[in-house]
Amino acid sequence: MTSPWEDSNATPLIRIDKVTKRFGGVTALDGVTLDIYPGEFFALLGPSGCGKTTLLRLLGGFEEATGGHVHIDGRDMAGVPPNERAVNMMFQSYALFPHLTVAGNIAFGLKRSALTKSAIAARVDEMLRLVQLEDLAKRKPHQLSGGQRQRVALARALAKAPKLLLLDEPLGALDKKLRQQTQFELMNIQAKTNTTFVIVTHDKDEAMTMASRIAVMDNGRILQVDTPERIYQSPKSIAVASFIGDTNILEGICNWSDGESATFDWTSQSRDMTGIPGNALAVGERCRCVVRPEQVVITFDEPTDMPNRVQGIVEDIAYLGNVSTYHVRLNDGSVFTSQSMNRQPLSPDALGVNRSVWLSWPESAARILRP
Amino acid sequence: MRRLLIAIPYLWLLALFLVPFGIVLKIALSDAALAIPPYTPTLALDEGWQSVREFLSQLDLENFVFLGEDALYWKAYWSSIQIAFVSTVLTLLVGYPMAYAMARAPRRWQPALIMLVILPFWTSFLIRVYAWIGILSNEGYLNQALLAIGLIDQPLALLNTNVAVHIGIVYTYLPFLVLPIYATLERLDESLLDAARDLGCSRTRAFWSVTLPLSRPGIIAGCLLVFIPVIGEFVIPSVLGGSDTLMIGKVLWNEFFANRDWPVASAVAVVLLFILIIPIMLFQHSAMDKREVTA
Amino acid sequence: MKRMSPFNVVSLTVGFAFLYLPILLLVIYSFNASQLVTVWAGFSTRWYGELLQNEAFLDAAWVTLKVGLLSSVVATMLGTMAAFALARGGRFRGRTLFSGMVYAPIVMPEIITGLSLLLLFISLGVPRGVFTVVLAHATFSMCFVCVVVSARLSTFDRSLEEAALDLGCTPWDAFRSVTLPIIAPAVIAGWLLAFTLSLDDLVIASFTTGPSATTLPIKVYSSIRLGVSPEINALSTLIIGLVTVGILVASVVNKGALLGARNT
Repeated sequence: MTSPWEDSNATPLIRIDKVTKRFGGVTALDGVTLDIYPGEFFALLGPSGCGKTTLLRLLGGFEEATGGHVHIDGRDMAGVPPNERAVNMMFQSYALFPHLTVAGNIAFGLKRSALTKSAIAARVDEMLRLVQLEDLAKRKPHQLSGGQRQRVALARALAKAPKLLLLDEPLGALDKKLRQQTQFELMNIQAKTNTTFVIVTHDKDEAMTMASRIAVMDNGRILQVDTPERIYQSPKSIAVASFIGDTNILEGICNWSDGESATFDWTSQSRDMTGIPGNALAVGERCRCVVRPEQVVITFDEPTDMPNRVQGIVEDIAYLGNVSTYHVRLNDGSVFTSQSMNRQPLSPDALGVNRSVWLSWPESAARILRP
Repeated sequence: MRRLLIAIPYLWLLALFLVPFGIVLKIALSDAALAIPPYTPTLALDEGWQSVREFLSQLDLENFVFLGEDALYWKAYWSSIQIAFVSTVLTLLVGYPMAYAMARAPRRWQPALIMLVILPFWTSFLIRVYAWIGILSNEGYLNQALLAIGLIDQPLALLNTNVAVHIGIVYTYLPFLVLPIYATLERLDESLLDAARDLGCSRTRAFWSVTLPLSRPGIIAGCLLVFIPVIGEFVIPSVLGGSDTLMIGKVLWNEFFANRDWPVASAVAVVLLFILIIPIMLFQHSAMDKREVTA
Repeated sequence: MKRMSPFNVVSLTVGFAFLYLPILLLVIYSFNASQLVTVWAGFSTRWYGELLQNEAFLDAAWVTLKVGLLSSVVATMLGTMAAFALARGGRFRGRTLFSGMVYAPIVMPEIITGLSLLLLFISLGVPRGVFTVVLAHATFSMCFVCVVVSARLSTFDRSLEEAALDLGCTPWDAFRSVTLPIIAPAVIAGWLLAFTLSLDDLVIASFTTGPSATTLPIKVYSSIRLGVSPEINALSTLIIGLVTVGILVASVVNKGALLGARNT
């Protein structure tokens, strides 16, 4: 089965076309174009102030675009107020009505539809079951724990069976352990209800775990839209590469490329390295190469069979239990990071500080990008 | 140190707030006499237990019976409650939109707006009531203006009527109502309104189903802050009201200063206090609630 | 920046016009040359001159000022103590009664408070005059001070005091050098409130005063019963002017004090 975004015949649920949003003199969104398909779990990822929440509020109808168009299900949403959109939102603060019970909160939106009383009651029960809060229907929001509140907010937003659910940092207020557990719950509920989810988050792990696709945003622009694997393994820019996980960055000048692979002259080491070009690169152009630390192999002897290798001295070792991170000082003074699994207990003299070592990585681990 | 901190204000309030009420109660249960002090004390504690027993046996409700028999008092209590109720509703109708608009105004204006509401509250109450005489009298500014634009051809009799009393109450008590309501509206999390809109409410509907219920603590506190003192109000009915404006504060004042019947005046005060106990307890409850919420 | 809806603009405009128009008319007509208050006959400061010649008003003003200063100082001390007792006293016996006694006078009709205090002074045989009015005013305004200071104390971060103790302060030192500067704006606001409440009060003063001590409101009340007079307008304008300046200065000082507390 091909994914909808790879299928040229698929119709997107949301079409965001060159959307710009300014607040006074501040540009929050700058010509954003994006398609989101039915059934997706789509993440908007970026640092705070990158415009991701503005984009979400624009979809919800809480902000009006300064320029461009938003289509949801084929309809231009300009001037359509939030109460007339088949879209619901889960707010970052949850925004639970403090004067209503859990059941009252879930029923709130249903009461504004044409449903009968018994139909509303049935739907409320169904939602309570979905989020496993059957016993707490009569409680008020202030009598709930953070995790329970989060689930009420989710149930309330899903009660009207919206085509599209917007989630603004849905796990931001939970502690780390609960957050991980809830991620899977959210994915289950998304699959069960077959609703399109658009989630805003600044946590890359959260986006990587849950999303079918991720849009990485910065300064009101979209840097890259891709699946989590491709975002991580084939970043299209240095900004995306360094936002998603730690990375080593090598500077150089491209001296050969056939589109599938390329070599460049690593300026500080004056030697040729190979990698896969992320963008079209011309020979003689300045470039940067990103290498993930876990792809870098550390050895005592020179691995002559590896095309990309460099020598250095171990400066410090961070032992993290399952993995260790090695900081290796190269002869030009820069520090290179390598990370490896701790499969066997380390012998104290195996890889000590001040040992001279070789670092190497395969061609497929190096991605060559425009600076 | 801590004991002293509690004891000093505690004893002060006991001596100058609670004990005086005991005395009022005691005098309300005594006979009227003409001499000054114009009551015969029925309880003389220095004569010991014997006198307490005597006191209890001849416990005298005659002043209360007198209040019950004379229609004037009942009418005055009832009319005070009516006037207080109507003017509280009127104050709410003027004050709620103001508080709402203040809470919705741009943040940087809000301190100035609060200041504008508080400022009249600091200027003399008596003077603010007095200001309305010039406006409402037959030759007053309001009648002058209405005659000038030809809306009326006879001056309206406003001063010395209940209409003037209502206007005076709304005017002087408005800040008491605006501030608590503003405080609850200002704290209202705006994402709740977004959520209501998201779940299908129009702006008006969102106001009725979210904003209004959530500002209820402020409305209750504000209304009680108007209703309770207005029942016992003396200055406004005596300055702006007419001879037919019947309010219990005025009756008590006359009973005390004109008729010099202290036992009856005390009985009037005791009954007034009983009428007010429930609203006062409601007010304290709401004040405590608010403190818990802010804590 | 959100814009205000027309409805909100109208509510505010009408509301503030209602609050300020009567005062404005009063002030304008205090400069009226005519004896008739409601008929404009040209600008004049005549009534201010006459007011300053009026011995009875000047005496009453002096009495009021004395009562106001004395009672507000006593009320501020008692009210601040009461606020600390409620916020920091923990659970002590009779706490409910205490907090009841603190809140009740705020809504209690003045006429009951006045009557009961008068009867107390009579049964104790205390001669009535400035002293009794001061006691009465201090009692009812301490409750307002307590509410104002409590509000500040409830947002006070106790770890600041703990930090002071940790850094070697005695409890008294910590109170003086940390707690007091932080709650000072509220104490000053409470004092100002107590002072103006005292200046303003007619009913309680009427009950608790004697022939020797006529306060300004009592004097004003007895003359406005006879109708409007330009002299009263002039007096009102002076009082309004003084209070407005006082409040504005206090709010500026207060803000300064707040900023100062934040900077240090």
